[in-house]
Amino acid sequence: MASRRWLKLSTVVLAASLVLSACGGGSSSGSTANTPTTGSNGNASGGEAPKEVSFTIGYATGDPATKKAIADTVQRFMEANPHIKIKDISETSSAAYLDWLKTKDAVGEFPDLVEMRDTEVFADAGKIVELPSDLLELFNDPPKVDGKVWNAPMQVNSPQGIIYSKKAYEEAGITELPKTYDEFIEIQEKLKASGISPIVVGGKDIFHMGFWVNKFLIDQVYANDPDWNSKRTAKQVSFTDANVVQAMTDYKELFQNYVDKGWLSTGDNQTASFLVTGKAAQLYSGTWMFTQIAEADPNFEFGFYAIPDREGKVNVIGLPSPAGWSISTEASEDMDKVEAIKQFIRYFFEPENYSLYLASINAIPSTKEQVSYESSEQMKVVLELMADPNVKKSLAINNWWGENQIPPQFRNWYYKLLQELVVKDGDVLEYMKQADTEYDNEVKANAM
Amino acid sequence: MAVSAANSDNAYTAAKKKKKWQSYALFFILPSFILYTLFVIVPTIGSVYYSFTSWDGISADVRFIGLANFVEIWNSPRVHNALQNTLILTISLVVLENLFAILLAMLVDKVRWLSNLFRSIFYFPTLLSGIVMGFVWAMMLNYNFGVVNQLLAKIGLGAFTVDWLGDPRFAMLAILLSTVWKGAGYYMIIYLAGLQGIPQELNEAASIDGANGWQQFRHITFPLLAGSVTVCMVLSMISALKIFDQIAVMTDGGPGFETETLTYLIYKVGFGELRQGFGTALAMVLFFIILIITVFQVKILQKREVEM
Amino acid sequence: MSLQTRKLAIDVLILLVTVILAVIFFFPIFFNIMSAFKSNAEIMRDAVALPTSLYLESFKYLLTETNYPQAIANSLILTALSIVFQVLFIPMAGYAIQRRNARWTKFVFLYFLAGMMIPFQAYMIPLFKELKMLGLYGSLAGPIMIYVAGSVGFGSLLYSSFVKGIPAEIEEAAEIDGCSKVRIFWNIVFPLLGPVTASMVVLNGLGIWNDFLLPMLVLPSGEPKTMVVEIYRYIGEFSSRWDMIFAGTTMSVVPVLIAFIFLQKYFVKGIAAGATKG
Repeated sequence: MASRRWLKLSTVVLAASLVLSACGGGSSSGSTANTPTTGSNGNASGGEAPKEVSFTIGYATGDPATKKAIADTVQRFMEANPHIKIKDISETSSAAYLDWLKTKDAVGEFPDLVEMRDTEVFADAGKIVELPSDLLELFNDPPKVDGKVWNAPMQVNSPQGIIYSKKAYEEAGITELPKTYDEFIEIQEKLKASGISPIVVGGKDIFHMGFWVNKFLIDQVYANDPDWNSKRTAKQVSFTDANVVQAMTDYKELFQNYVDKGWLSTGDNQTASFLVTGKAAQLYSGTWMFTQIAEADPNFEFGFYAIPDREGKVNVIGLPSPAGWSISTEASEDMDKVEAIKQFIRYFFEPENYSLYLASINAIPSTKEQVSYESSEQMKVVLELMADPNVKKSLAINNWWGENQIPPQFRNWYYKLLQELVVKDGDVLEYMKQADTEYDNEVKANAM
Repeated sequence: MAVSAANSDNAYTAAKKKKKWQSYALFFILPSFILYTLFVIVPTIGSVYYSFTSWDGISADVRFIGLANFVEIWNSPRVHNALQNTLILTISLVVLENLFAILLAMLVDKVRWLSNLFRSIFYFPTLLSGIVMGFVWAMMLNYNFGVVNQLLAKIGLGAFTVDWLGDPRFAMLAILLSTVWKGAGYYMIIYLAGLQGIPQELNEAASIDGANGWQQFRHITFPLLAGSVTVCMVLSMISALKIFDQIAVMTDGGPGFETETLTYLIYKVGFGELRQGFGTALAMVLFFIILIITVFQVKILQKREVEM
Repeated sequence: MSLQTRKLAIDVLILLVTVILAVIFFFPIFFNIMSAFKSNAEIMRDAVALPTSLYLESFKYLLTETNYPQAIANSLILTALSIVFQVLFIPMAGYAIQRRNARWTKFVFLYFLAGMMIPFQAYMIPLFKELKMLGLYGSLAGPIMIYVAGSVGFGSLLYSSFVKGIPAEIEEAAEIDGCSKVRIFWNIVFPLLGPVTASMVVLNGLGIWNDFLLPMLVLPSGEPKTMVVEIYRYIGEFSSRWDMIFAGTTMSVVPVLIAFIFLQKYFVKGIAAGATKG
């Protein structure tokens, strides 16, 4: 009697597990574990029709305009090439892109074609392969890591600067754009006097801190010494040096006096609404915001300029860094996939497609081929900056590579430290000493 | 197992039963044992291994570095800060959650009308997802658009509007607020059951003897709640030490490092910043802290129970 | 003042305090639901005001343009199946631990309990690799087994202490009559464990329904996962659209609210019974 009951029970359990694994099996078709079968399935049913291939693609979706641009390109590519299926596994999450990639890797879902932002780290870990050499011809001197090119750069890093409300400037009686940093501060005073919050900062999202922090770092440090990071690792320079301290003091004073009080709980994605609703006059950010702002309020009039330093020189972000599309090591072992991916990459960079991508996020092309698009008045300023030989081009602290790469975990910690610096009104020198200690510890830890 | 004495007169049957027992006990425990070992213990052991390495979480290359991670944890000011935050948060949470829980339980017990409705209202937040409600709280406490600040402004207390999530003085408070709101109801139910187990006559007799409300509480109610207190304190302590959702969603450990707790540090540095070996070592440390505190707590509270 | 009037006054005072606290407690939920019926502009403009009209666009979008309904179905399936397996395996174990009073069962008990204190983040990564190795990654089977494994500690605690309070005579009698242990457990003891089972079902069911980290990391991408994970995704996707976020969070609260209204009795009894016995 009992045994019959157990038999029934175990049958149910067995059936349930079969059902579950069947359900699971179906839905995991996109994962790399099933890679080999996809090709051969295609073969069996293909005949002389092109082989069915599928690969996964992953990219940062934090910015809605970028996301749409890439997703649209993927759609169009699939329509033009019905035998190639691209499974888009990108997920918008509030977490950083690196976090997301790590998660995907931990669960074995590392994308076949992946947007790389921390190229060196993943290259060293053996997760990505070199860009196939036949694709190199598309680009103008792409950056190399360890002498190799690992990415198809999606864009050249473009300058960041002040996005300002024309109305707010008018009402504060500002008629000229600043030619020096001191004039910029004067403008802030005028804005404050006219009753509007001068600057909005999306401090809740740690990456947003980088915009301002790097502006000061570039002016005082990187514009004159692009190899500062490697020197810091070798302990030849320090965060307590006068130039860094000056940079951070400027940052601290700006934040304490002219940034909207709620900056620590304002998210990056709220900054556009702040501008268009007149809650703040300026936002320091990059070209991808132009589209966001225009969408938030098509009638909002805004301008863009880069803030000069005290001597009136303009230094901006504008060097290329190793970032862009990369092929994962796993995918590279499947020749069919690699072919399909290369096809997609070529498609992506074709002027008619690439221009759409660039236009949606106001980016600067990285290809040899001239790609142009209707650019807004703000974008024209950016292009002028890039074309002006007197404007020094540089990079943010975490975008340098090779000898100049900082420990990957340093950036977030440093930005958080700087938040604390403002909030607790700390002594800049003391805080910079802490930065030195932490930097050295991290270098040591990573070397182990 | 005094009951088995009744059957001990038949030694043979007893021995035979014991043999039957044994195999069945094994059979009963086996499925749980297998699943638990496979999906909890094995990965934990794997983690223990990783905590002695400098693995970054993605390379195939795993390098053994001995106790270096633990040395770093011992020396790191960031870990000390996280430890401090964790302890402050935990103690505050345990005290506040239990205080509110007892208060609410007593109110629900004593209120003459609609007690079920009130019980439901206080208990309901526990059922919700920490992540989801964390977002709601974050939006409510937003400096510019949040309802709390706007409400304060409307009723004339505009001077009290603060950046709840961005001001270091208040960030911890904000986390406490949303967590107590979510947790108190759960413990309230336990205390309520305990309260309802206290015979009315005791309190009545005491008031006849002239004891006032506070005295009754101190000498009758509270001691008789000792069992519930033990359970709730232990549960709330373990839960507080592992708090994560609210911090992830509301403050990201900030502003600066103000609300960074051990669990959050493990996630942020170990997982998010490519220091899996270090993160795992930190998790081991956290586990030991939880273990020690729990054992300690249970011993103390049980002693009190007996005394009472 | 007569004794009765005084008692009434005290009762009213108690009522007042309770009402105030209840209003404060209920406010976040009320605010959540209220804001879901406002458009984004309305919310930004004035968070405190009541909606001027019932704005249903956010809800419509969530129900028709997204995979939210499917995600809810997934949550239901995942929770239900996990609970079924938990009830299948764990009460037996708790029973055996309590009744078979040997050194090895005591050891197993402590072994199980230790797991309650290990934070999930501690063994998360090796666990995923293991799932991949066993071929369980990407299906619902993986999370289900993990949920069952994860509740072994708490479950065996609950059940063994409850079984302690059940006199063994009935079982002994049944054994003499020739019943097998298995039948004794399922036909005699298990029904007596009703309150504890209700307790575990409710508590674990809730935990699984609201769980975020595990389903997000282990279920395959590109498809709707569970309800909570979907909400998180929408919040990320619509981060500046507060109206959508509130609609999403409201929709995650509503199923729980409904279940609660109907199953209130079990929720409350379950926790109380479980905890007092524990």
